[in-house]
Amino acid sequence: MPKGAIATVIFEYRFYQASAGRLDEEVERMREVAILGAPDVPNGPPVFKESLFDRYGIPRPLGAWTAISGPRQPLFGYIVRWNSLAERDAAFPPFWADPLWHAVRSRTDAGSPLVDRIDTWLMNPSPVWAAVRKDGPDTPVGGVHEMRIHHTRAGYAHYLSAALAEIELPQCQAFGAVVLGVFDVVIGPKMPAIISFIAWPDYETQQRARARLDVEPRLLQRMADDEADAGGPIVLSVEHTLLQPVDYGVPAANFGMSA
Amino acid sequence: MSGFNDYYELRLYRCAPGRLDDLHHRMGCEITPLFERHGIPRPLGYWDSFASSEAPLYAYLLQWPDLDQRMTAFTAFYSDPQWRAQRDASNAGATMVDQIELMILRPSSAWALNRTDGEPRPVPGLHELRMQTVSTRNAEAAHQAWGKVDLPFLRARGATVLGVFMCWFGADMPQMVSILGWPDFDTRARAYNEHDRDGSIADARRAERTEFGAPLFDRCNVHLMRPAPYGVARTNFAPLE
Repeated sequence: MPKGAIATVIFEYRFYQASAGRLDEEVERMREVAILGAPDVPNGPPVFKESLFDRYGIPRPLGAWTAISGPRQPLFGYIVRWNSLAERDAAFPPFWADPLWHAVRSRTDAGSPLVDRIDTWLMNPSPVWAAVRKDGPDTPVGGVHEMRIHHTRAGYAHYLSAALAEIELPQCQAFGAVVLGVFDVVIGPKMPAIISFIAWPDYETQQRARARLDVEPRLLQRMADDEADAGGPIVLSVEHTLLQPVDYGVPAANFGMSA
Repeated sequence: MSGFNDYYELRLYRCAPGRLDDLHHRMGCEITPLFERHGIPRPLGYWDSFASSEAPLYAYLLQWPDLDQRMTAFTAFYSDPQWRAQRDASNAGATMVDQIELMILRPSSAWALNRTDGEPRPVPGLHELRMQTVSTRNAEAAHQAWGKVDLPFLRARGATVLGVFMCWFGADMPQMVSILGWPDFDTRARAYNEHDRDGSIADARRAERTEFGAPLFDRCNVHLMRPAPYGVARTNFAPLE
């Protein structure tokens, strides 16, 4: 996909708080409808090559994860790329109405809802992503992933975008991280919000890098300058979550959108 | 020996950017004589975290026999001119902490079921703070399930139970707070991956849903913490030496 084209797509953030003790059931429910071949009768064996998601034109997730640390656990989530919201709303609602899906949901609920809460947000690719992306082969990136949701003071998100693009994310890359993607939330809570997805080779590398970034003089100076310039705080809160990719949703570098 | 009638105070600080080392110095060195002067006990453990919703997180745990004594002690401490002078000097123009969450905790019945045998010893490695929201109607059943089903499973896979508590004063109640020790990140990851897929755990959750009409456990906030070298928590939260 050409580099300029990422501005024309929209991303859907779907994160599910599973019922206690049922995270793996949620991971497997998603596998059944998104990845495995569809059945021809409710709860039948897979007879088609295409999955139910495929049938309705719901793209395969660009990444799918369970959470290692952070709030909202047990947490399963994935992100999907759409070319338009018309495409999205022509795909999901008919899937939700399909008796084959109803049969899966009812069987996997097994008498009690498998999911307690769902966050469905819409995200645009952030200009920060274009600024820091390193194009290369779209190979899957494993390791320990990190989702950081920065909530900024309204009117001042551009300060954070610049600091992320110029200092923080390049520093993460220098410490061994792969930036999977950076998004601006366009529909969701506590906006403005910027979400970055970062892959670290392992937990130790992530810990060392975060400790060093916390005292990185250029970043601290930039934050102080920005806050002085803005007359107050830029970032109001950050939600940090460490994620483990699930086998069918290991994201590619740049979420597969390298030039 | 931790007292089962005692109160515990968990103090969670979201550290200002770049100030974690300063805060370690304050808590590990400077503050100790002042705490002593005002009857604030030596903490039972100190931690930091870069894998937390509040990162960079700084945390410590206190034990109190009496909450009124706690209130009196902190009031006296905060009004001590020496503390104020020291604080202003080490703050050096900007506070070290952006936000604070304090909780008063009491020992959970799940802890009584999962004591660690032997002489008290430090528990090095990775510590995990789990802040688990539980059913409002059946909170005690959640503690029992965690103590009888989950903690034995996790202990068999490398966990050491440092302590399990019920929140007595604080947010998102009823809340169950557990602090577990793990030898390392990978051991913990393996244990929870097995926990997520284990048939006996799934059966237990199903039986709970049937018995109580709804799940006993709601959402959980998990912080992966590093014990500070100057105060590595000991088994059963025995006092530091």
